[in-house]
Amino acid sequence: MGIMGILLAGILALIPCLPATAQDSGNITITMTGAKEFSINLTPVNWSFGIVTPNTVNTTDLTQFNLTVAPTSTCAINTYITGEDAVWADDPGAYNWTLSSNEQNDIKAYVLWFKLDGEESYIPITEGPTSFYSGTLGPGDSKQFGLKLLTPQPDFTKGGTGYFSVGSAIVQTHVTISAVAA
Amino acid sequence: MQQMKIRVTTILLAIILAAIPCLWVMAEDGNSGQTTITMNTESVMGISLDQAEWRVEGEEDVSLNTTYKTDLPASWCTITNEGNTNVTMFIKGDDAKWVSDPSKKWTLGSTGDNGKNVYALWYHIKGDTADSYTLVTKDLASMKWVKDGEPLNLAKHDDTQQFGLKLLTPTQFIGGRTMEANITLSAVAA
Repeated sequence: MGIMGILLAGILALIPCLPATAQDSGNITITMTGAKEFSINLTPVNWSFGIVTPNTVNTTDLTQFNLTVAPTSTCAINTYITGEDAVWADDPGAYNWTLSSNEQNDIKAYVLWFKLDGEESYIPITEGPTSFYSGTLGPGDSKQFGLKLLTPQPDFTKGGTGYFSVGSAIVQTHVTISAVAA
Repeated sequence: MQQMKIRVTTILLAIILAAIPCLWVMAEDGNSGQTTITMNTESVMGISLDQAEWRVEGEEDVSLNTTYKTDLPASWCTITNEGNTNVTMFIKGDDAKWVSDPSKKWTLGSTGDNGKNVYALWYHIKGDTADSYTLVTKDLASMKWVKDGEPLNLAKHDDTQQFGLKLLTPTQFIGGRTMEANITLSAVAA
């Protein structure tokens, strides 16, 4: 009985020590979500069709333009293409061509299409966003494409030849490709 | 405690590294790309005048040393750009010749003063300083606005400008002769 009493006393004395042993280490859970970051690059930044005449189709090579997704991007992207009205570079408010929305040219209305290298058909570019590539593009991906331009119908005719209202002039527009994370 | 310090340090480093591409994207505005497309147009030149003749006093005779203006002082004649080239207008006058004997003439003065068989001619552009006139001489000269000295331009197809003429007859001449003078307006690519 005396021995049992001593053992019981020892066990009781050790009880406060057991939780102390359990708190010697701890766990911390760290949670991080990688941001979807991306960058695209469109080249060349300038392109000239040269001298154009009314109501004519002008095309570039299908490898003339190149869109590249930066390899450092962290996500796949969806891409969209938009165009805008073309303006007389010297005096944008005085003369412009409207970008057609129905693939029909008119007086002071032009049409612009793009075609991905390897694809079958041209797709119209409008002021509203049009899907540039039907799938997603990932880091390091690139797509080459070309443009097709149908100039406006002539503003006037002189000697049987059609002309635009501004001569020896530069008419300028922009094509923009934008991207969002897929 | 030592373990905690190491973990914290590691987390901070990871955040900095992750932020590097983010900063680059923001700096480059990399979520869009743009290309500028240019097209050059062909040019053609041409102008027209809607007046070909000014009968100074109609069927009446003109008097000595008298000033006459076109019936519409500023908008008597319209110049129209029939081409598409940005043009600057030039003007020159000439001596007025007797239609029956062109060797008999009134000289177009170069100073604005009239004299014996010397007459003077001016133009006024619509929209220019009120009652301002610019002398026309036998030398081809750029038509200019009095208000700012800028040349008279017609930048594109169907652009128009209007002007009127003023004439001062000689102080002496032989009456009964019909005198005829030609004024030339030329367009030069600006």
